Amino acid sequence: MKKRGFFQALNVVDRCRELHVSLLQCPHFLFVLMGAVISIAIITTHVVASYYAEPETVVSIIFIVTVFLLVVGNAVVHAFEKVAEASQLKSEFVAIISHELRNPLSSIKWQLDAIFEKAEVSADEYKNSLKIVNHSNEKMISLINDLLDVNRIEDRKFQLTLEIFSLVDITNELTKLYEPIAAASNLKFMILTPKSQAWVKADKTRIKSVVSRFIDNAIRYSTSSGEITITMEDADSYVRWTITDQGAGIPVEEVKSIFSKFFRASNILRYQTEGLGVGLYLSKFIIEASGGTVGFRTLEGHGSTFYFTLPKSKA
Amino acid sequence: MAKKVLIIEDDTALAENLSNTIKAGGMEVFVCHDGEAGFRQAEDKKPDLILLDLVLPKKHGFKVMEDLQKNPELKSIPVIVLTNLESPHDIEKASSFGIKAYLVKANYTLAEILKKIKEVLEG
Repeated sequence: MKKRGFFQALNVVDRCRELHVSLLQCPHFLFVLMGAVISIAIITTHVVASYYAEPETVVSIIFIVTVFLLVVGNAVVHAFEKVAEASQLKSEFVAIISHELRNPLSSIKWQLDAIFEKAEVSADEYKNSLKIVNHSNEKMISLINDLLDVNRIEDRKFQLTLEIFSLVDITNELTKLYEPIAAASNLKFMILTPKSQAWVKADKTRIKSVVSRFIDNAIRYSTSSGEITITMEDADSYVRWTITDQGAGIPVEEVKSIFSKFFRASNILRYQTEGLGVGLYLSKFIIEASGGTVGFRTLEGHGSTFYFTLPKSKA
Repeated sequence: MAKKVLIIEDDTALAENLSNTIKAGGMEVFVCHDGEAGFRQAEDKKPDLILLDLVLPKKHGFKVMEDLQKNPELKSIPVIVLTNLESPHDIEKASSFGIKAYLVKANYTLAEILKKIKEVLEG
C-alpha cells in the first residue's frame, strides 16, 4: 500500500476508487458518513435546544433526529455487512480456484511420480502419461483464461477480435475432440447442419470456447447414456446454434441464476462437478458482445436445450 | 488374503495412478468414479479400507460417509479422505465422521499415500 500525506489520506473518494469499490461499499467513506451524521445530529440538537424554550418541542425534535440517526446508522451497518459478504465470497472463491488448480496439478504430479517409480517405461506408457500431463496443462490454461476474461469484463477491458468463420466447421472440429469423452459415458452426438456453412463474423477463439462449454456441460449433465443433439440453422440475418441433452435438467429454483457469475460457488456441494462456475456467465457475455442472443429451456429430469444466435456473415 | 481397498475418485487418470500404486503394494483394488457407485461397491465388496474423494458426481463424499455411518456393517470400515479441498470447514466436517486421515492430493506423492494406507491397515 502507498504511503500518503495527511490531506491525501482525507480524500476518501480517491481511496475508495483505488480499492475498486463503490462508495457505499467503502469503509473509509462509510466511516466519514457516519461521523458527519453524528456531528450534524449533535449540532442540530444544540441549536434546537437553545432556540426553543418549551421542553416538549425540544424532546420531539430530538426524537426525530434520533430516529433519523437510527435509520442512517442502520443503512451504514448494512453497507458494512455487504463489505463483509464480499470478503467472504472472495475467500470462498479462492478456495474453489485452489481446488480447481490443484486437480490438474495433482494429476501431473502423480503421473510423473508413476513414471519415476517404474524401473522400465515403454514408449506407449510415456506417450499415455504425456497425454494426461498435456490434458491437465490445457485445463489449467483454460481456467486461467476464464479468470482473466472475468476480470477483463469487470474492468471493462474485454475486447473481441472479429473474423469470419464457419460455425459448422468449428462444431465438427470440437465434437470430434469430445467424441471419446462422450463415448466413455455411452453418449453419441447427432449433428444437424444447414445447407450453408453457417458463416458468422465473431471472435473465433472465444466462440470456440463457448461451443466447447456447451458441449462439455451437455456431457457432464447427461445421464449415463443417450444422445446429444446439436442443430445449426441458417436464418435470414442470423445463425442459430442449439444443443439438447437428455440429462438431469436444471432445478426450477436455480433457473434464474444460471447465467450469473460464480453460479457454482454457492452450489458447489450440490453440483459436485468441476469448474469455476463462470462458464455460462462468460458465454452469455461473449455472445451478447458479438451481437447475438443466448438462452435455454429445461425440464428437471428430462434434460436441457441451450442455444445462441450470431449475426450472419457472407463467406 | 490380500487386503481390499476401494478407491472412489472421479478423475480417471488419478484413480488409475492410485490403483496401480496400491496394487503394486500387494492389495486388491476396486475403483469407482462416482459417489453412488462407490457406496454400492462398498456394500458389495466390504473393503478393508476406502480411499474417498470429496467432490464427486452423483453423491458427495460427505454423503457417502454419512451413508456408511448409517450401515452397521460398513460403519467400521476405515476411510481416508483424499481431496484437493482444504478449508477448515471441510477438514472439520470430514473429521466428524471419524476418518483415519485427511490427505490433500497435491501435497502427497503416491508412495506417501501407499505408506499411509499400510499404516491404517496395520492399525
